[in-house]
Amino acid sequence: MNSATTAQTSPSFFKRARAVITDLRFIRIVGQLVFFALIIFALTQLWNSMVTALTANNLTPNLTFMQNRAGFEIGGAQGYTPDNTYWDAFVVGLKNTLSIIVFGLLGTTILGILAGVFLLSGNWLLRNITRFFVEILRNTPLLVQIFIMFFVVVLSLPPLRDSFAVPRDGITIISYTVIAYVITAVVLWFVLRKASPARKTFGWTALAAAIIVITLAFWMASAQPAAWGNLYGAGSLGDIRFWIFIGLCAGAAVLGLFIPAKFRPSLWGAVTGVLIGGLLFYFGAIPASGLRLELSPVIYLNNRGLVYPEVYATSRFAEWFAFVALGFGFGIALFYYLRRLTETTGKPYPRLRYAVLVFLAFTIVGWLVVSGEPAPRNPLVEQDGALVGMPVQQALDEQLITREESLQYSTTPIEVVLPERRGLRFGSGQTISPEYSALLLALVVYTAAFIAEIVRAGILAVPRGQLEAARALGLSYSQLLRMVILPQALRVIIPPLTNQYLNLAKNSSLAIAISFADVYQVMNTVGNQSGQSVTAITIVMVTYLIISLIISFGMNWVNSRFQLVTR
Amino acid sequence: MTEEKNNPAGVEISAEPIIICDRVNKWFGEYHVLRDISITVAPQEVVVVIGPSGSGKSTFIRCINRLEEHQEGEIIVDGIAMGHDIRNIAAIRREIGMVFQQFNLFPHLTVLQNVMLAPTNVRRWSKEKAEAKARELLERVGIPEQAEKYPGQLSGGQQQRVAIARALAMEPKIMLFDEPTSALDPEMIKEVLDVMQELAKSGMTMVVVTHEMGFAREVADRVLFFDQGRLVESGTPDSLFDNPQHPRTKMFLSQIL
Repeated sequence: MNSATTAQTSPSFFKRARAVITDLRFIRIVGQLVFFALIIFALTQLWNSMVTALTANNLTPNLTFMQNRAGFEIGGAQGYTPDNTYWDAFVVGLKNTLSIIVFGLLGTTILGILAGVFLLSGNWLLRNITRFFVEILRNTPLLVQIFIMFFVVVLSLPPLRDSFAVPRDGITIISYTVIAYVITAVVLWFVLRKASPARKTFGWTALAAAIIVITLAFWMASAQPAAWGNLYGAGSLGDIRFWIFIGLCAGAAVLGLFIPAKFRPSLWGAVTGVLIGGLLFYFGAIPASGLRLELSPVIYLNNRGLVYPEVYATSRFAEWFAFVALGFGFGIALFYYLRRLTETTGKPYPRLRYAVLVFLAFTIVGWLVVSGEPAPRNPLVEQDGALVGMPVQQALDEQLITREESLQYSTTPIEVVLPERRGLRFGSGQTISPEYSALLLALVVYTAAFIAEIVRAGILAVPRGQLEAARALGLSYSQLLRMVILPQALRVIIPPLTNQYLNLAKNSSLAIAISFADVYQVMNTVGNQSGQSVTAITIVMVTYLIISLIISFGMNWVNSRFQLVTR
Repeated sequence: MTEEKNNPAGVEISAEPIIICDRVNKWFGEYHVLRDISITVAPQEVVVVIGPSGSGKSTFIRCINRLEEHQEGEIIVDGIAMGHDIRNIAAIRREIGMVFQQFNLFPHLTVLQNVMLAPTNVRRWSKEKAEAKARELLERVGIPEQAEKYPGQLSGGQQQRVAIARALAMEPKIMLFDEPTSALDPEMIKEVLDVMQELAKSGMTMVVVTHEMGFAREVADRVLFFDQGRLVESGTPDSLFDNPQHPRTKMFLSQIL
């Protein structure tokens, strides 16, 4: 510390001291020290009074109580019973919270970017519908939205007895007519791939017209059987209505000669379609029956949640996974090799397609090889005091072996167990609870509304000149977006996007409103039961702090990669 | 359209025009910006467009590569008719390079990447070929040592020269300049004009909107004077500057010369 005045005239002690006190640097340091001391004082006072009060009630803050038996149920938690400890309950809650946050961030990013681009769309309807939803979502409380999702959307699903099942439970009939339509459409697409626009219009209009005419004809035949019912398959050339129909078609076709050439393919396509559809109907060439398929449902949806197949890795999985990893490695290597080749020769190779093909080939061949190995012997189970071999399915059904044990007897690398209804519950299948879906949906949609605005602002922040320069260079629209607009928009988008990510993570604690067992809901119960509220809340705070810090660090790293270099 | 390739640089102007504008009309809402503009530009010709601000000169050259859409009339560039078909528009843009008043370099890419972006992605050249071309062009505009820098680290004049190199990298047949020196400090104007002059000498077809009358007089084959969306007068620089016919031209020239 040197004083502001010079020592030439050797000023008095008082003057020198005053010079020190009014020195800006001195004031800064002392100010900081005083502020720090005040904070420490306030915190110790708070802490002491809290510990005194808690100790008086025999509740000294500690962590040992977390080893105690929890004694409460957590709905849908696997491998957790009330006999587990508080720590185990915490882990269940943490897993649920993390699951919500990870899938929430993924979902909201995708939906938010889409909505943001829609907000700038040239399509009036799309732009304004998106704007409408964004405004509603941004301006109503999240808690209300979670309740709406939970009660209105999710709980309006049918009870378990009447679950939606995909594909339908029992026999599904697929009409031959529909199959014929699909086959025709595929053939038409293949034939018209490289045809002129006029021919494409002609072909597709004809197909659409034929489908409409046939559907309409069947509908009329069933609605007014007296007048139209006998028309299906009549096939007689003496009927006057048949000739009127032919005449009308011919007339319309001739009319096509007098309209602008632009509309001609559409008109002639429509006439051809109507003619083909009409003739097929009149001569009864349309099968009324359908393909009968008996399929087991893969997904059930009801008011207790979404039930989907269980997927297990069997003891052969590792072997197959080696093939997959190898395929992945070769695919990547091929991708980079072809890219190098393209860069050096300038000749474009479809590198992604080749890489994916190699990967798929390894995956499929690996599956066939691994599944083709000789089947293991049947499991030995104890029956009437003796060990006998029994088929896996039977042993499972009789509950002589567990699902995990059965996996070493399967021949395929992956075992898929479809959900199966047993009375009023599901015997197998994983369940996503309505609480989980409602919370995830509400968080995703709510946060996406904010992200949409951020993305919109980010894209608008890129100067118009950038767009014009890219266009003038001949870049296509997708190249322009990818190479010019997005890299520049991202540097504006990322900082506020980080805030929204943090919001989503923290808002996930609203799970308690619909009793979803996230970390806050679980620790709240733990605190109430054990009386150790301070510790329980501290654990919750530390958990969210760590999650938030991870998100922040990740996003800061991403952000640093998108900043512009200037002088 | 292929004849000029065999024509040594700048010897004579071939008869077949490379840009044809026939009664081009454009409105911004109610405002009539371009009124019946009919102009042809021959290969290797240097055309300078002058006029007061708001006269439609910038809008006119932006119509030539479809940064603006004209509503009536016909524009044919290098034998390709400008329509609504994106393939035609893309083909025309490949043949035309453009330099803007605000440079519009891509700030997230280095100078070299800026110049290489279009050749590698639009022309699908190999990286080696594009880089060689880019370095050659940076040499030509006089800033080979700045290749690895970002646009934000360069002066205005250097940025504009990079922008010219970026446009030239696509090997265009035509170059459009939209007030290329208007955003520059006075001492940087000359370095950009020198590059443009050299380009004109090498036989590039150029349409230049500028307020640099000295450049127009020295380099242009033809000067067009625009006012209120109309092509008022055109002629060689000497005849237009020294002996303007139209009163509007006289007034404009008396104000700026």
